[in-house]
Amino acid sequence: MIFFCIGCEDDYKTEDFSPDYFVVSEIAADSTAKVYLGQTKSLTDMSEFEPIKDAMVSLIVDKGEIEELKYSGASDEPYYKTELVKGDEEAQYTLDITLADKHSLYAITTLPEKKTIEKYFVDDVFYHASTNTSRFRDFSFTASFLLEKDHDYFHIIPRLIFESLDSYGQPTGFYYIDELQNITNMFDLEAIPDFKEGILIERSKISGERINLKFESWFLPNEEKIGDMVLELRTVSKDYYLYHKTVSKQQQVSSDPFAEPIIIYNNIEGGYGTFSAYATDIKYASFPE
Amino acid sequence: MLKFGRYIFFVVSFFCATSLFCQDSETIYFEFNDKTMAEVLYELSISSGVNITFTSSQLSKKKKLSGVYYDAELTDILLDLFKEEDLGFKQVGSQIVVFKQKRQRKYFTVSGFLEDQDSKERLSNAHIMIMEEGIIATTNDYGFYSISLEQGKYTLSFSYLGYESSEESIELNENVNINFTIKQNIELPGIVVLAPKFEEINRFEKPYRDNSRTNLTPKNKYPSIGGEDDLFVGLSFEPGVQNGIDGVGGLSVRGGSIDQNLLLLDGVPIYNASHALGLFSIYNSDMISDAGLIKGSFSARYGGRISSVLDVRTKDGNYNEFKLKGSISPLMFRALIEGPIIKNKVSFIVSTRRTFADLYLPKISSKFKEERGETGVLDYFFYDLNAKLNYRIGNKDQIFLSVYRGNDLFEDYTERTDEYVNSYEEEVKLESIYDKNINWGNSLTAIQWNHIFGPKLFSNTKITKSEYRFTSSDNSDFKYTIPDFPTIKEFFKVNFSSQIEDISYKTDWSYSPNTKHKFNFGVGASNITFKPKRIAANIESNVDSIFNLENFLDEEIFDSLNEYSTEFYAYLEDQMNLSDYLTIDAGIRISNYKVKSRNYFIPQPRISVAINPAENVKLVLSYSKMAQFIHLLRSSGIGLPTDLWVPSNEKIAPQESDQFNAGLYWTFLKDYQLGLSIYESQFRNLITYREGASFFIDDGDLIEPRLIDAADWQTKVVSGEGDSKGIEFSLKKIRGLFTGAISYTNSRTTRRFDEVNNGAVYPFRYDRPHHLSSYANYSFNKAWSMSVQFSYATGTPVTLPIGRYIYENEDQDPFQIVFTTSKNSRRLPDFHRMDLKLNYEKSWEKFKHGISLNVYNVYNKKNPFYVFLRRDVQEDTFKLRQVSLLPITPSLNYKFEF
Repeated sequence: MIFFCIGCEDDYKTEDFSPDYFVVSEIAADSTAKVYLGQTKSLTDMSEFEPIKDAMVSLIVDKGEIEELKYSGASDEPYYKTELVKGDEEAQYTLDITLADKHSLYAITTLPEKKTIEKYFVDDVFYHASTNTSRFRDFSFTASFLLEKDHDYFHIIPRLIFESLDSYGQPTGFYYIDELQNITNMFDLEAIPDFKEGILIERSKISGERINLKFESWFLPNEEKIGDMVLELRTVSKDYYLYHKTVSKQQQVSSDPFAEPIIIYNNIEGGYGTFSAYATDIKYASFPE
Repeated sequence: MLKFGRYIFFVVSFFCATSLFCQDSETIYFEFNDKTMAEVLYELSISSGVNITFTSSQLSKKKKLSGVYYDAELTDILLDLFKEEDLGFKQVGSQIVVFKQKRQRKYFTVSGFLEDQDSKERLSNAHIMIMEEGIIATTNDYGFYSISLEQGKYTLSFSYLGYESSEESIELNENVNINFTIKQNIELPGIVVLAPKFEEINRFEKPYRDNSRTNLTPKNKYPSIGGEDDLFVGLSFEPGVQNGIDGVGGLSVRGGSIDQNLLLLDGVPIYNASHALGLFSIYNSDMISDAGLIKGSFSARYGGRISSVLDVRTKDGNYNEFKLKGSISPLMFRALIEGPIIKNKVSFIVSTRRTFADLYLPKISSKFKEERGETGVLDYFFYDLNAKLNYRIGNKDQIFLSVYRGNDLFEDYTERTDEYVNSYEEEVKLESIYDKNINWGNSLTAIQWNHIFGPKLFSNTKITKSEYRFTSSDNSDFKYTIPDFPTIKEFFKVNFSSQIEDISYKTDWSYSPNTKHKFNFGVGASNITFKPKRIAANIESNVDSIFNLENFLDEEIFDSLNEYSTEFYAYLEDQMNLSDYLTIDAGIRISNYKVKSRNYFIPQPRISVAINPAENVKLVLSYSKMAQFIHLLRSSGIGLPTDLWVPSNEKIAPQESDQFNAGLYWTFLKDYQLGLSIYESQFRNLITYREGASFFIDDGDLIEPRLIDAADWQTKVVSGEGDSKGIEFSLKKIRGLFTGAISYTNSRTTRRFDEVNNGAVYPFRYDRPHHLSSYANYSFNKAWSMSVQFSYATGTPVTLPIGRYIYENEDQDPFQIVFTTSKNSRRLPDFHRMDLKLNYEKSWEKFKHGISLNVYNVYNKKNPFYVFLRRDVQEDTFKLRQVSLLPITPSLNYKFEF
């Protein structure tokens, strides 16, 4: 008699899960440095994450000046904080954490030199025909700017400002910012949906000095007016780029069980997470009438 | 006496100082038997009373002489002794001095075929030893031999696995064409019986390089699933060879991936040589006449793959009488019929196999599903058919037509209902239907023509066609019922197909001008069509009903996605027997590969040096460069047949490898063979799916149903490099009532891609640092024998999520991240398994039969095949689950042969 069983399925016995520590910290020039510290959980543990509040967290600048970060204590700010990051360009920042059980975490990142958006304008505005069935009106446009090629990694966050109108069609003075998604890439860009509404790029993969981004959005013609287009350019460290690239990929394919596994970038020695840095330039461009 | 470069000078002094020519009329009686030339001259010197001076290193040590001279003068004796030697003599003072001299030689060639005495089938890669010279030649892949020797008398000794050795004497005074025959050894099949002289000299196969061509012709020695004598089971006992988990997952040789093995059947390349996902190979052991594995020191005539070559030849069919054989077990039925259409001229052979799993698997599987609260069935079926027609036209030509057809079909249908309470405190009834179908198969056709141009020149021309097709469909339907709410329906469908069609032409020549050189050269071309396609759809795709039809989309729509490539190649190699101790095989293969507008020109040099430093010892050093113009893309998760064959093209360069190999081989106590080798292979231009590559997701949205994917594969891959190195050890006992082998490999194989694992090196899926395999076979008597095999290997590397954390940043809402340390950083549990076989055979003159009891996986080890995350709907949690394949599986197998 034959026992022929294809695919006998059983629980896979793993070693008992041993939690590790993780860090999330992205420091920006001229702003407060914040560090979130926690413990990892197993895949089957659905409990909430609690921040670790009793660690010693230090930020060392260029192997010299040491800043001690203090836990804020506020429930809506579960971070270790310090004063403004001085923003010395190309400075190397070291994060050094010692936990209550004497475990250490360590990470290094470099604050990149801020790059600026040059000759930025909005062009090629096209309004789609309005319909009788919808109050909304679609439109598309191109945002164009110059970007030097002497740094590799950028995070571009585009936003559009709308001003609400009163019942007479007059501006009310109330504004809101709308998220935008790049829909037509003129070149190969990594898009990060649902993450700061942004676009993550590796500059060396884009030829030419000018970058053109085409967008599509909609508005309520009788209720709002299109205002300025805001472009935030983050010059980011390589750690920042690699981390968010892998995280965004994982989020993109999370619903596909057959997708290739993604190794989340990790630059924390002794743990997991991210310690990275960026510098920001923000420009406004008028939206053509 | 020492071998290399030492000359020992013998001076024989005698009591008689009389010069030779003072006694020139004196005659002597001189007799000698089975002596070397040095011994003969020594005794002649004593008999004649004359000093004979010679340098022993100038005389043959192997050649034995016998003779008798009655009343002969010394000079006449010497002239007669030296008439076939490069020797002369002259008187110097009172003594005779023997010296080396070139004499006019005449060479002739003996050529022909070595055949089975009964069936008249030609025996490939058989040994022919010229006893007087100590040279071993081999028949080629078609049983043809050609040996050029100096005019004279010779004794040829023949040896072939499973056959009785025999000797034949010939007198070579002109070119002769002789077909020799040898008889099968029916006493103890599978025992290699060598002629006695082989044991004395005991050289390794001379034209074989470094023993890297391992003979694998199945001989019913190994325990296996259902008692089926499978070639891949024998392969798994070779060091450096991995055969997946229970055969599933594919063949990896020296750290290479499964697409890097050139699998041949009568010279036709095979793209998937597996039935039942790898539990059985497509090679029907009843059809096999010769099978050899080459994993290093590659001949220039092989190309197109970069890790190994498995060269399998099928039988021609009995030219004399009809034969019928078969076997039956609960798993499978096999039958073979062969015989002459015109005796000694035209023969045929047909063999078929069919599994019986479809007769009982649905019933058994439905019971297993019921126990899990499901309804449905699982079904599996495969068949294959081999057929060959052979026509011998005169003594110089032969035409073959061979075909193979095979197919596998797997179906899994499941319905289940789950009830749970969701986060809104609503009672949900979820009805799910899963319907999977996988269908794959090969279709091979070959027409060949052998022609003998002359005693030294042989050619083989073949035109072949190999088709592989794989299709799978995976349909899932879900119905959510919540009281007081409309029913929600969802579905998810995937249809995947990968087809490849390879049409090739090649001509190989073999030219043997003398015993020191054998030239192989040839040309060829192949045209390959790749037909990949994949469609995915779900409820959000707004698809129309076409995706719900049985016939998915017609072929014409997919023709635009086909890719075509052409390869031309030529090769030349010389197998040089430079001396008794030194053999060099050197060659080059040049390939030109064209795809669309891109051309790749790749020369591939090959060299192998074999040295015999001592009796029964061989040292081999080799280097091979190989190129491969096709790639197999497979997902890193499972190893189920979702593979996609794709070509090199303008953006994807051909794979290349450089292999360095050194081996030491020693035969001792006549029956034992010890092998130790080290190797390193460096791979370039490998491709793999990039991280996150998905055929369903594109920029965060499900891909709309369109003709995609297969054409888009290039955007989903990255290229990189790999390295594989290892040490292999093997010990075999090849003769006697007890035979067996143990092999151990310690190896590492890694890969590196810029965009995978953050550019860091990681262990390749076939990286298993320790691999041990062994078998033992004992023949109690002519009827009963028993075998046991045991295998162990380090667990397969896998990428498994370790845990989760949150991305917490004031700029946005926190979200969860699932992490792992690095790619393939975890390992499945170590693999080990033991199998047993008890075999009984009985033979009469016209009929023989046998029965074997096989127990596969004796101690029921559940070796995980893959691990995955399963979502528990009711508990809303995830669990890691493992799938293992065969548990303890006993079976009986009955064989018969008329």
